[in-house]
Amino acid sequence: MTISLNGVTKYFGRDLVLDDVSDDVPQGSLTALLGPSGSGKSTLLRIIAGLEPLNSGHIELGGRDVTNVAVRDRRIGFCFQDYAPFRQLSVFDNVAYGLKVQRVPKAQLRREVDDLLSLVRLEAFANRYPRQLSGGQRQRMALARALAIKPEVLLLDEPFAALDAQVRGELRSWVRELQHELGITTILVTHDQIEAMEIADRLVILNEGRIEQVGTPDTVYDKPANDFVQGFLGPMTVLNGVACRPHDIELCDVGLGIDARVTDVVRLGFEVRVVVQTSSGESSWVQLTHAEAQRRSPFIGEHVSLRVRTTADLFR
Amino acid sequence: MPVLALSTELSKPTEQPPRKWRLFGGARGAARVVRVAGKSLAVTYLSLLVLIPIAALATNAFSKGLGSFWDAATQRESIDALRLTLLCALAASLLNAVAGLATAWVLVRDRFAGQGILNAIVDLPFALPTVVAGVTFYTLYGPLSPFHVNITGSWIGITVAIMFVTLPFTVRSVQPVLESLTFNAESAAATLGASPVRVFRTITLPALAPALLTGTGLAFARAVGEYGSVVFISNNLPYRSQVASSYIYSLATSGQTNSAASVAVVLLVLALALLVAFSYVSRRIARARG
Repeated sequence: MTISLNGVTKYFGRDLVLDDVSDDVPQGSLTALLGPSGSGKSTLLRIIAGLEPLNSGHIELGGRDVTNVAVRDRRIGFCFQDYAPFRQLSVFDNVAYGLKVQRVPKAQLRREVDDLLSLVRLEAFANRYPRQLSGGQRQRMALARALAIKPEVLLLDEPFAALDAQVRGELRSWVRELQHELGITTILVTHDQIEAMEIADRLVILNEGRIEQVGTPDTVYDKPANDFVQGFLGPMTVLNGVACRPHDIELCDVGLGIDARVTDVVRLGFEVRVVVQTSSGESSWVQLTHAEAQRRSPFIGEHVSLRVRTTADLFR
Repeated sequence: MPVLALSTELSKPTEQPPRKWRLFGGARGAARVVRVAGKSLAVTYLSLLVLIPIAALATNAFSKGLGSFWDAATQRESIDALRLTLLCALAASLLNAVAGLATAWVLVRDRFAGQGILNAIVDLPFALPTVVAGVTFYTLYGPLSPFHVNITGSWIGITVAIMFVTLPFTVRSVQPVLESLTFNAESAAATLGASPVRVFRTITLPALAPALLTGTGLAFARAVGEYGSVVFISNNLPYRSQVASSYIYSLATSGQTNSAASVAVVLLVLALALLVAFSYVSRRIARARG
């Protein structure tokens, strides 16, 4: 189902949190609403679900105007950041909640819930209570509960924010596979640009209530529409007065580039950050892979020469 | 567990504890002194204020033997007073459960002018001497009522007086739980198609149930012993509108202290049994959920 936002505007009191936001989300896509905190991305997601009223504009789902349709009649699958488990209900009853509302016959309900539990790999936990689950399991339960009503739109609010790094990585690729398999139009909210680029096939970058750029991860990373997008998507530095990505700078033989002196060398996981000062006094930094750093072994005080890699260099 | 961690550290055989600690047998010993002191204080305090008086009451009740206790407790006047007390207390605490829940709801989930004042008013029954409340109710809803409503001498009057006195219990026990409840579970139920009534019944109410039960239990225990606010409005007619506390008072003032103690013990046991039952159920619910 397509989602169409037309001039969505929202105030909290006097604060404008969404300023004339328009976007068309294609059927079956996985779109990430990406932006810093306070950019309005969660509010936009809640407005699409009908959990928050809007001040002007309208929302269409599959061509139908739902601006004034109540939450419970929108049939949207929504996962909350804290997973919002029904604490007094077992995992089975959590997942069955939406089906019970629809008065699905008992035998069918049992079958459907069992199918959903095996989809999210929680078959063995049907009789547990939410408090007995780990964060990742709770997240999967919330997902199964949202999918039970067979929604044509799935909205995920910071789905991985509360998980530790390893579980987060696993769940990300699992959610992406699941979404591809089910083909449900999905929007997820995140403030993590790496997560957004890994999981989504479309990014909507929000800042201060406005859309800065919409595009595929490649487009927004390689052809950022403005300084905000460029700065938000990855680290930036300045060389010779020009903004560039630190991994696009290379160390070359003296005389071939801009002369500089190494002021610090910092090891960051499998990358090495070389902080330099150019002869004009400008401070900049270069990101090297571990292999590059070992080959060149830069040291503090060393005189180096820097230049920005061009696309042609990559094919040398 | 910093105390525990510290004590294992210090109990390493090579390290001697600093000299000043040795007086109490090291850090572990000092921690134990503090623990024992705290425990003794709590036991002494509870003994002086609660256990000893209750023991004295029970001794008094059974001082002339089990037969005399039984006779005093099963007098018709006694049984009628106890029955009236329990029924009115139950009615008042159940009505307060509903009204208190509604009040807490309005205080937490609504925003309106004068909300702070309403919030302060809830505690007024605790601050107001109960006798003052009794007199006020008598003038408002008695034979001289400006509204021509006379509820004196009936269970309704007694229940209304008790409701006033016990109102804060439910409100104040439900309010903080309601405040800590995020809207997310309720919103999630709504996205799954549940109507507002269904959301309240299946999500909100079960979350509030333990607090609501605790508050109702406390209100009930308090209501069973209420005297000051009830004594005027009840007209105090034996067999008809006399509550247990008032009956006990009349026995005690007419020199029948043993009988008074006997009825008091029955009242105490009944109130305690209900209080324990309420908190047991409430804790069971809370534990099942974690």
